[in-house]
Amino acid sequence: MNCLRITVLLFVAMPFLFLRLASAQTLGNRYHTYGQMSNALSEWASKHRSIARLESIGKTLEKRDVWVLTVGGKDAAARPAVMIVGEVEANRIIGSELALHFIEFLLTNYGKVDSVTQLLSTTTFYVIPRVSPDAAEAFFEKPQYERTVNTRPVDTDKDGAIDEDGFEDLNNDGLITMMRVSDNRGEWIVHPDDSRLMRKADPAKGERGTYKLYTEGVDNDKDEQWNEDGPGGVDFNHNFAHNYTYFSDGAGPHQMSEAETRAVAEFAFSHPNIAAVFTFSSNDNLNSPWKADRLRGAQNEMTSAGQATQDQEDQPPRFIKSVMEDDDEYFAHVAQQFQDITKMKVAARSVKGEGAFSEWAYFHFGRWSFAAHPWWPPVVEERKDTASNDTTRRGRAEGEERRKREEKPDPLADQQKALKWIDAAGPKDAFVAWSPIKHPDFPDQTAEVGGFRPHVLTNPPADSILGLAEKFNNFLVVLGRSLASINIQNVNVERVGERIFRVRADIVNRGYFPTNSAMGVKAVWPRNVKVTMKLSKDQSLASGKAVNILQPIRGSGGSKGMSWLVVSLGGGTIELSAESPTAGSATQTIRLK
Amino acid sequence: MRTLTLIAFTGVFFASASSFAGEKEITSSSLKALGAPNNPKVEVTWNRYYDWKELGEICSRIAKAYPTLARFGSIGKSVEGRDIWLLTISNQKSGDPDQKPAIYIDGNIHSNEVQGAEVALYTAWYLAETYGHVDWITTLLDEKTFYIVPTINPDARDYFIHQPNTPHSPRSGMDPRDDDGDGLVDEDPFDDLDGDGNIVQMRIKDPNGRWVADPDDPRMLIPARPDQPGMFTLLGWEGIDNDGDGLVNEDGPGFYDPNRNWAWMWAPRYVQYGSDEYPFSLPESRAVADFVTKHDNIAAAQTYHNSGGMILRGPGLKEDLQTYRPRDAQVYDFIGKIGEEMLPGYRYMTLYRDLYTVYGSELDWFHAMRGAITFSNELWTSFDLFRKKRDPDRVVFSDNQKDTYRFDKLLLFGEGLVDWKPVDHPQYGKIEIGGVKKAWTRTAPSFMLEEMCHRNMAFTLFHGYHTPKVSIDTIEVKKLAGGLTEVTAAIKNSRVIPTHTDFDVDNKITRPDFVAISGGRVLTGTILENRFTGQASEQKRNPQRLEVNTIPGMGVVYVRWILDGKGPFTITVDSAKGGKDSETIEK
Repeated sequence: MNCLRITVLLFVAMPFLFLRLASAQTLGNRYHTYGQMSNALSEWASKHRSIARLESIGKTLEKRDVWVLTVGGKDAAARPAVMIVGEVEANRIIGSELALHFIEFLLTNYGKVDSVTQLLSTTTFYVIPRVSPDAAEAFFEKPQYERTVNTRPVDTDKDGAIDEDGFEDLNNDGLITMMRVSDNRGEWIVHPDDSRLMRKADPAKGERGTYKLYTEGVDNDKDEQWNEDGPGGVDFNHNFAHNYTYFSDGAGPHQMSEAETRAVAEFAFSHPNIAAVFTFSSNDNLNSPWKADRLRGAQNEMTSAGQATQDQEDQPPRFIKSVMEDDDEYFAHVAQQFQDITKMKVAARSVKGEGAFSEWAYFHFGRWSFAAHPWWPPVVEERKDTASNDTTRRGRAEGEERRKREEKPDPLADQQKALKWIDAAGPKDAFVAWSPIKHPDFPDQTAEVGGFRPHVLTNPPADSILGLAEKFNNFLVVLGRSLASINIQNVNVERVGERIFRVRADIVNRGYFPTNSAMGVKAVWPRNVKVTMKLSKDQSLASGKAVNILQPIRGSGGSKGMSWLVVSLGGGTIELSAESPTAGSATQTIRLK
Repeated sequence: MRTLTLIAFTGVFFASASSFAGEKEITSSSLKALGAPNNPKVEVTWNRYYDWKELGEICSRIAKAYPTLARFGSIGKSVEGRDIWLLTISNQKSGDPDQKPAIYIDGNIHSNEVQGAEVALYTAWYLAETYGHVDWITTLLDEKTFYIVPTINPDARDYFIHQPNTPHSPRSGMDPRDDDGDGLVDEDPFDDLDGDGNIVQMRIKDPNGRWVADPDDPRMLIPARPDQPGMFTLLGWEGIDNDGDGLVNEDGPGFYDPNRNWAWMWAPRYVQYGSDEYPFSLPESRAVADFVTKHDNIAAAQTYHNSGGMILRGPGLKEDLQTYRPRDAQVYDFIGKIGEEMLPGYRYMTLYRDLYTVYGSELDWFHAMRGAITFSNELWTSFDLFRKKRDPDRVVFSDNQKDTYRFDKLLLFGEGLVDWKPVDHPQYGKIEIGGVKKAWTRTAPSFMLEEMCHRNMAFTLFHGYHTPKVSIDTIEVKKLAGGLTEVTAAIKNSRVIPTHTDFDVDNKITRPDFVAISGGRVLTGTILENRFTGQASEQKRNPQRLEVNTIPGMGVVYVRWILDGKGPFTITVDSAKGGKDSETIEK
């Protein structure tokens, strides 16, 4: 424990020592510790003062800042914005790297590449590269393990003792992998096709288990459970209020209980101009787009223990759990764009969120919210006959694959595929070969340590980061260009009689997204377009309202026609304005004549 | 005018505080009326509603006068930076208050529902003053702890007291929100057109209106009969269109409902109005949750609201019925029904079924996420007006407008109402304003407040008394062959509330009770499932410290060890919510 603390201190102290050294470098094909990331961010903020601003929105338990880098100049808050969140699952630090690469892309191309300069004149980007930095740092520490929870002390196994049984690196390789122990009560066997893998014995086929499988470590508290209550904590991506699972592992004492989650939520709510949210996350709705549940519509699933009570069915639908019907075509279209741009093909399975950030961003915060797996182990295609080049057949096969994936998770099949990739093209040390150790809890049994190296199935080899970043950068630019954008058109003044004028105008949305989503209207937080007719003292309205809150206006040229009767003693001018934080603003001065 | 009066009150307090401070007793020849102390060390008059500063001063005076019984602190800050005062009442000499079974009491979560603070603070004051004079109270403070937070909405309490309001506003706290979706916050509140400190009704004389003056009391407006010509059109609460959007009073202070912001069964705004941005987005409710979570000795809670005369328990929503397990519901029923006796005119009710559906309420959070038996009392009922026999069909009493006006006329001599008077309105022209003042219809008049305080306190003391009390009831020692000893102990809970509710046990919310033995090498430790047949379940790990899920109300749990050793054996029981006990036997 003390050892860990010291490491942390070193990491925090280091950035200051190596500030100069790091500054000469661009991000490149590598992973960045929290300190290195902080350096890069502050470098950028000072180098690109006119367009980049760095702020801390909160501190973690280990006193790391949660950084937000705003790309958008001094009018940033007045423009529609995209919020980008990396690394909601702290073991997938690649999301954090890709978020950093997008910042670098914007900053280095601003003023040089017209499309980027143009984009930043209309759209603001709020990038939070690392929301759970304490947990993510496990990627760089020894022993390395895939940590998703922060450092809040939690009695995970509810035995009255806190963090009393964590992992141990028994074979001293600096990695936490798996343990297999020969045991005739075990239900695991060595996979007949690949001795590196373990699979469950199938009693129906007459197979008998010969192993028990554990994570690497000892039973510190002698409760016959191994590593069931390690250091921490709460999982950022299980701590949000949508689909929250009470009392479950990593969910925390209640929704939004953590400094990190609350900082992100507070930041979101204090930036009403956020129109869309993009999250690097396995709650992927770009490779597997959300679909409206047209049969059931909204559902009544809210019970504490996930049990539906009988009389629930008599009640009107309350909780919205699937995308609103009016919104799903937009999700489908953006997903198509994503797939066309990134060409990432068969993606890993999308995970249904429980307290997940990206789902919260749509269902509670009411914003267009997109999420994609940053990376997954590539599928190595088997060599087949020439027919496999036939694109229609391949397309069909992919569709088939996608359907299968959505049906049922199959971790073993995933592992087999991963091994195929590792053997063909993956990193050399990705699998730690099983090797025997002496285990104090199993003195008379054979115990072996081995398995996939931590983070190897969740994060790509460093040399593929740049290629991935390019794909996501291209998509994020398109997303940034898709925000609603309002304008006033077709202004028409008609003298109806002495001193009475009929004023007509269309409020037009030239962007792609509607000015609000159906969910946004439900959720209430995103503002609708407000149209204000400003009159001078000697003018009044005989029809129409001075302040109008509009229903959503469709994108791609959708419009809302408006009409007023203005009584004006002296003719003169009136001022018509339309604005919404998420769709921009427009003002016109109209002469009454 | 109002402010001046308040300053005068405060002045009187300081004077009285300084003259009584430090004096042990004042000779008095009066006959003590039973109930409140005759010569209190801390002079407090329970016939008015104190603002936040005054509440803090009373707390501080109680703590100074009774340093071993009362501890004064703060559990956090409000939106506007006010301390959320806490008084911890318990006899510190008999044990650490944070280690004793405790009840948590707060009031005023809805800012206009002010009297909860007075009831809560009266409880602290009464307990401190009465300790040592009434045996039952003395024992209570020796054994239990009362965490008392008079107001958990101090900003808007002061806004209610010092600014013009209706009896129903602001309810919210003071963190500004955009209620009408125009991008502006709190830009169109009520306006006190005549500057009298009350927001009342606006009406305009209108032969086509559908309201008429009540013939019995012309101050009261009633709907015209279907065939009767009207006299007035009602224009809503006193106010103007401040922001020129054509709407009047559509965006006042707040708005969110602090009692819809709690984490248990929190629901977004489209399901639950007022729930705000996310669970515990409000610093006041979060401060309470953090405090309570750190104090696992809290086994019960009471939160005071107004009005309607109710002793409410959860669940707030039908879908959550299973959270109130049958055995736990029996505890609520027992305490709640005795409450009905102690509080004439109050009814013991289940929130979702007998009142309305509430997501994210404080009482459900206490029950479900802390395993604390919790009631919310709705103080003041129109039953109190003339104490007529209750109409069994009517759920609440507070809708009895006629009695409210009549009581005002006969007992308050018209002080509770603003008589209709003409004002000029910038949008409506010549109108009239009048109706009930903010201090009437939901809060008790002076002469009824102290009774309200005492009766509700008595109910809460009864509730607090029944927080679990664990003790070692019997110990049996039996010699076994081979020099081994078998020790069997009965651990008893002599109160009605269990050490863990069944919902707590199922979800392992709070730590188990520990029953430990020392004095020998423990070979086995078991919890008896049937003490007659000896059927037992073994705890292999740490058998010397057995983990007991719960000790039921008025129930007993039998534990048994086999030890190698001669003793003396010491048995200790340690329950977070039920207290501690220890006993040593020689053989």
